[in-house]
Amino acid sequence: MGEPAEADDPGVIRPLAFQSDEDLVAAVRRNDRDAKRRLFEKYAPHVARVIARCLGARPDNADLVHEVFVMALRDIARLREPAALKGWLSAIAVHAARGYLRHKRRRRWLSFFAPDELPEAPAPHADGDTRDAIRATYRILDTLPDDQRVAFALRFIDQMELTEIATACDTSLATIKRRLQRAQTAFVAAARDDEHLAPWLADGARWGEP
Amino acid sequence: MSLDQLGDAIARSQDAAIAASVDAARRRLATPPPRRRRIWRPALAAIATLVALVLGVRSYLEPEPITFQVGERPGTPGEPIEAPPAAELQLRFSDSTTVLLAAATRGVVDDVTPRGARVHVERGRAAVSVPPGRNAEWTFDVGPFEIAVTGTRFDVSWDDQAQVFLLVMHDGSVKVRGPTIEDRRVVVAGETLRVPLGPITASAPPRDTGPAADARAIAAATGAPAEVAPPPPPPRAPAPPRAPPDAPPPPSWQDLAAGGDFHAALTAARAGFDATCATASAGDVTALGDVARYAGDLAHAQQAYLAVRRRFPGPDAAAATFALARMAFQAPDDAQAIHWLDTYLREDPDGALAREALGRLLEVYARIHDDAAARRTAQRYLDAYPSGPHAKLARSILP
Repeated sequence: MGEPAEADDPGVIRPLAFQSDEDLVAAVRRNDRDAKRRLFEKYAPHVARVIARCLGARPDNADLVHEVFVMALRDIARLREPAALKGWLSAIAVHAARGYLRHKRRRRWLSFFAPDELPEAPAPHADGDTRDAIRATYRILDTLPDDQRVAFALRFIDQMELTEIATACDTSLATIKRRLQRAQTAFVAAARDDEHLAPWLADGARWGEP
Repeated sequence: MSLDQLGDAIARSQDAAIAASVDAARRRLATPPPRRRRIWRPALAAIATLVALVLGVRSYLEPEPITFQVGERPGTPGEPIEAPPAAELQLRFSDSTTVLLAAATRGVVDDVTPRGARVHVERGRAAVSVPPGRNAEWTFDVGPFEIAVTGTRFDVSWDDQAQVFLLVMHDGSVKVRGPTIEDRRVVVAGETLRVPLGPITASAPPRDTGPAADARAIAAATGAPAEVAPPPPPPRAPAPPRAPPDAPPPPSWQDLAAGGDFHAALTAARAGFDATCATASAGDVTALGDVARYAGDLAHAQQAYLAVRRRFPGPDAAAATFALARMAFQAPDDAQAIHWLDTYLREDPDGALAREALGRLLEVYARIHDDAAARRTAQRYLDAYPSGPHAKLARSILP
């Protein structure tokens, strides 16, 4: 008689409040299904962003997002500081992305045609020139060492804080700064010779402050 | 163009695909992993043995079904129980659940398990209190209705003569199933569910019958406070349209509402809706708001409740304010819900529904992730109602 169904009825008291990551982690450790769902809903976009920055927009990035949460739910007991949940998930995402890059290199070495590589997902909000520049960017990133590539992508595309990058990459702040310096130098040198990227250097060859 | 702008463009283009990645990952997580094809048979046999062993031990350690007392004597499942004609009779269960049967109420404890029991109230009234528990499984058959309970407090009655079911919730929530109720209906604290199954009579109900009187009667019979009494039934107003002399008069909106047909009741009330809001009693206008709300016409419901607030300062206005808050809460319109719940708590801080209002306010703040307000409200709730139905939620919010 006009009353909402149970599932939609906000009048029903639900254990909905995981106000802090500590609460959330504690509930996940208790095998609370709702908490697992909330963990995913809260951090899946962040994890998906980290992976997309590191690897580019690929149609099968979802596989890696899935893998990150499978690993996170499996290893959540090992998380020492529940308040650092986001950084911990970033680190798992970076680990998964680096694993993908290693796998891709091995396959490329074994198979001349790299048959399992999927095309880059379309960039619906970018014009043709920008799409070309994005593709050229990741072509150059493919030539960088993984450590430098990840640091570069998280800093200059995601604009992540240096300390967050250090946490995600499980290394020191000084190391991250060194990687960024080297990555930027290599990237700019390659970009000068790229017809799609050269115009983007018109206002300078520095990419923000590393 | 700069490299910073290139970084922004890359991020924007990737962000457009983030939602799709998340959706696909969510679907994959919801799908169980495929079974492995090759499993060593010896390992399988060992696991099966282990499982059998564990199940055996577990069944050995399985807790006993709860027990109960009828008054001062031990009770037995299946045994008919009837309260004396002029006295109450209490059933006390070993998990602290109590069922207080009003005078002349008849029922039976059909079954008991380690987690709860199935209690049948054949006729009469009962005040039920089931302590919250993670695994509690209680079912109450009241007349032809079934109430599923985990932890809650409510009063319930079944009038087998008039065929009227009435449920008055005090704490928590229950699910009700039965005639005229589609699927299962959730009833939460502060709400009353009344389902008359008897034939609809053309005459208006007596002044002191209906939900309010029933609730008061239950309260009187069980000692429960009458604070959750719903609005009293309205008298006939305004007058129904004139009918031919030989035709029976059409039922009034009150009659239709009493029969549970809220859409028809609202249709009948529409012609004189504004006049009723402007001139009828507080009970009538509130009842009209309830009819509109149950019929899903929230605009008319709001009009009626606002009229009560404007015309009848005091307890009637407070009840209307809570009705407005509940409507916004269920919409959900969080801003409106906060406004009306705040208004209720400000205007009637010791009102009958203050605890429920504060609890719902807490839920809204938690729902919209207003952490600071949720913490403030949680502390306020615990200070006032440390063992209230929202106390667990409040504690989970506080650091």
